[in-house]
Amino acid sequence: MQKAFSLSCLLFFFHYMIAQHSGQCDLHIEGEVLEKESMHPIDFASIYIAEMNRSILADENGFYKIPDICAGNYTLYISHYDCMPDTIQIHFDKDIHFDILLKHKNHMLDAVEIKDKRKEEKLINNQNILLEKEIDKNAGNNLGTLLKELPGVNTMNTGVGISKPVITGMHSIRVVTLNDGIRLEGQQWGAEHAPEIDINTAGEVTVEKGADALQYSHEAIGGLVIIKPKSLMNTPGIKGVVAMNAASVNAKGGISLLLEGQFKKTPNWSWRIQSNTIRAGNTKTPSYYLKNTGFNENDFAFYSSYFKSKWKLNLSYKFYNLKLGIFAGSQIGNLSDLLIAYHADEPLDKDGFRYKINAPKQNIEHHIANAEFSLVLSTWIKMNVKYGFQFNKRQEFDKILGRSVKDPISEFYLYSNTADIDWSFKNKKSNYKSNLGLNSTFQNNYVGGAYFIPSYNSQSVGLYSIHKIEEKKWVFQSSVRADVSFLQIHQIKNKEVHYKHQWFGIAGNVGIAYHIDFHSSISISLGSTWRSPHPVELYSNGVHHGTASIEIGNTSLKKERAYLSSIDYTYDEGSKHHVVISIYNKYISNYIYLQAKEKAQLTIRGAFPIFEYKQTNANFTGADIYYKIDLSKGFEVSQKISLVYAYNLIEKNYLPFIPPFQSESKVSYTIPIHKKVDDFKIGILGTYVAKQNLTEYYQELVESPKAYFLLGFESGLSINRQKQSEPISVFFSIQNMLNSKYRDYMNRWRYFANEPGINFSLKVKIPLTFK
Amino acid sequence: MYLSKLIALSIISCMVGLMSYSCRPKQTNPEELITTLKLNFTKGSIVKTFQFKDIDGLSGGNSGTIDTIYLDSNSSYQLNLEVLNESDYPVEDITNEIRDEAVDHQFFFNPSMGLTITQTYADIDANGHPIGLTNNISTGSISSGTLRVNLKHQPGIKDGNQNTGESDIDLTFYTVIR
Repeated sequence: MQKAFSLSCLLFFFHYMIAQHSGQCDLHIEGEVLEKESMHPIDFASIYIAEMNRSILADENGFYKIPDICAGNYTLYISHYDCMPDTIQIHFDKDIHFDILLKHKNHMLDAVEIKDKRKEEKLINNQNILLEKEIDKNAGNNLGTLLKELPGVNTMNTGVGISKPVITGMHSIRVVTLNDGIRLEGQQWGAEHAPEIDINTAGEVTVEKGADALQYSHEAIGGLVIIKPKSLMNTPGIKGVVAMNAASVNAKGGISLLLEGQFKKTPNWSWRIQSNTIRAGNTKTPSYYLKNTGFNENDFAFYSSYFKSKWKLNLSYKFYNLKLGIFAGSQIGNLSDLLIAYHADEPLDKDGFRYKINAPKQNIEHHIANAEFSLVLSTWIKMNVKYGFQFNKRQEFDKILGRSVKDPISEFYLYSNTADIDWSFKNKKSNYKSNLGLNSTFQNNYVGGAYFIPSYNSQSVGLYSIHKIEEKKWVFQSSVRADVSFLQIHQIKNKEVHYKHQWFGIAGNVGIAYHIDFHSSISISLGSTWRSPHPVELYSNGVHHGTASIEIGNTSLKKERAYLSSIDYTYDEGSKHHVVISIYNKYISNYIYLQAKEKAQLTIRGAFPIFEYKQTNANFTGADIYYKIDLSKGFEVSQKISLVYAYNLIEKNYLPFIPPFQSESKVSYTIPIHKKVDDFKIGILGTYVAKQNLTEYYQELVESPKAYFLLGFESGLSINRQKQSEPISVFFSIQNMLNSKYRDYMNRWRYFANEPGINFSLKVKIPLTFK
Repeated sequence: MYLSKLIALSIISCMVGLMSYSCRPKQTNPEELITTLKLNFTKGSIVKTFQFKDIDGLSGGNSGTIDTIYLDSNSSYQLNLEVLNESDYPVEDITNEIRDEAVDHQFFFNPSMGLTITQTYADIDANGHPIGLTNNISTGSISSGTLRVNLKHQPGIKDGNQNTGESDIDLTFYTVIR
């Protein structure tokens, strides 16, 4: 790295010296064509110099060079099929380096639904990406439901309102979520705490399943979810979006408003404000309503970006609030209550439809403030400094003996401060790129009430270095990361304690990708990473409501070490044929999990099974396959298959709570009906989920649910208006068309309740342009 | 321009930093620890008490101790229940709290097959449903078996159905009628 850096400086100096002694008409301009928001290179942009009637094509790394020009004034016209064309006036009298910034066209995002990231970033990875169109289709849903669109992502649900992603069989602390560059910290609060994200703010969602996450964290053993907001406007004007969504199964209604722009007087400053409100009532299963399962979500976001030629400052603030009813039937006392609830055909505690949320309920608040400063230090070096503040708050209300329902029975407050710095170095000549950076996190977690999460402070610092070389059809990448973290537990259940922990670990990975031809590539990635045990895993001790079990922490837990490997094949012929095959193996030594003890504990509330945090060696093997075939005449077939085996190598059995085999097929047909209507598409979806029968009977409280098949329907269209306006888009879908009664293995309410019945949902998005 | 923004930003970050040290949850203890259930059987002037006791509570790790109930055959008893939290000093009597929230609580008594015990409620809540803190017990001929005592918390749904709600107490006593 240092060598490359000094070499880069030397080269730069050399270039500068030569330029000083050049003649009048043998000057040159060189530079890079970059995407304005992401600063990623744009390949094969065309640059036309009007005065010389000459045109130049940038290379696949965005690099261009215009040789043999005389000093003077020139007009450059830059165009690219993916980007807004731009015109630049330039004067020069010596050799210069000049970077050209282009903005992506918006409609580009609609071109393909799911695509591999390779073409944009040329990284070696096996990530998948969801773009704006898919996100719009999921307006009013939560992040877990949205991510389910991607092959290899499942969800783990706690009833209807709480849904979180499961990637390669892992979730919560092993899946790191980055929202607008800031890592969401509330995931430490356990399996029933969903990521706090308003998906309307997302412009692009990416999932990484490999070991390539080391720039952000060493804890992403399962995977990494990256949520990026839509790019802010870069031309003067004011635009808006009104988006509405409605669903029948819980009489849900939502409205989201967006206003963004750039004032003529301040062309370097772009801004956006956004709000979102969703109301939903009790959810209906095929034969009954789930009592007290309504929710209210209210979100607000503000973004600002100030841009100068050499630097950019982004500021943002996001607020998320969810008030959520907890299904009355899930409040069970002990194992015999659970068995009564399980064997009942319908929950004994019934209700009709209502919006009102009663106790038991939760109130979740999340604030993120984020400041990001990027600076171009030289042609070789870019620097990015980020600071993020997060405040997570969760309050639980319940009607319990001798206490008013107005006061929360337990509260968690988590304050997180993160500071990150990243330098990226780039040597175009050798196609070498590297990043060096530092992440630091400081946290304070306070718990009020007798919940089993302790109050603690933690500090962590991580240093990483990432290198990438591209050579013709090959890409090589390596990363290494070192982290040190400290943890002080200061309170457990109102008792003051002083426990200290400290961890240090190294993570690293290497990867090779080979571009077989223009459409297809294959990549192999090998890596190792680790994570330290979480305070909950170390110190929890108490009853877990909803699963009628006692969870006991283990202070002697060691850190987890994971060895990750994956092979990925991608064939991508634009919107025609698309194949993604991803096979992975993750061996995890000292894998932390909850193991049921043979003997239940007798308490005054009856018998409870006891689950203890233990460590084992586990092996996760799986495959995710996605393909789409264009059958011509508007017909298209696609299928997603995912399969994961998680084996406990010491106990010699399969780990529980791992998604069973599932397959989703879709047949869609595009109908040309009117010149003003684009993309009128109808599709039929079939989803099959197998029974999870790998686990032994003693690992489950009750038998795992039967396999099920669901039929769905979707249709969407966009209506073109005047030339300047973006089209109105409408999306209508039906889930569980046959109104099937079923339960899902990955839902923690599968002991007491059926999944939702038939659901009609409608989303309308109306872009507005203000003159 | 950006300097002033940076200054504004650092002020904001200091403020939120300060907030993180001042804004904390209230340290309440919401868990009403029930450590002890006493069954007081009264016949004439003689009171026999049998109990379950688990001082460290639900998450203490130790199982509680439970007495065997011995009752005389062919007799009538009045059964009064006492619910205590003995982990604190002074000992907290939770019986009154149950009585205050009687519309949401009911004790159920389930003798095993062959155990010659008949229970009838001797108290009533504001809605006319039984509570089960006071009961009449009559025993038959000599027998043995188990007696399950189950306190259900049924907010808004109390209707005499044992299968709804949440078990606050669920204990099974070995019982001998002699």
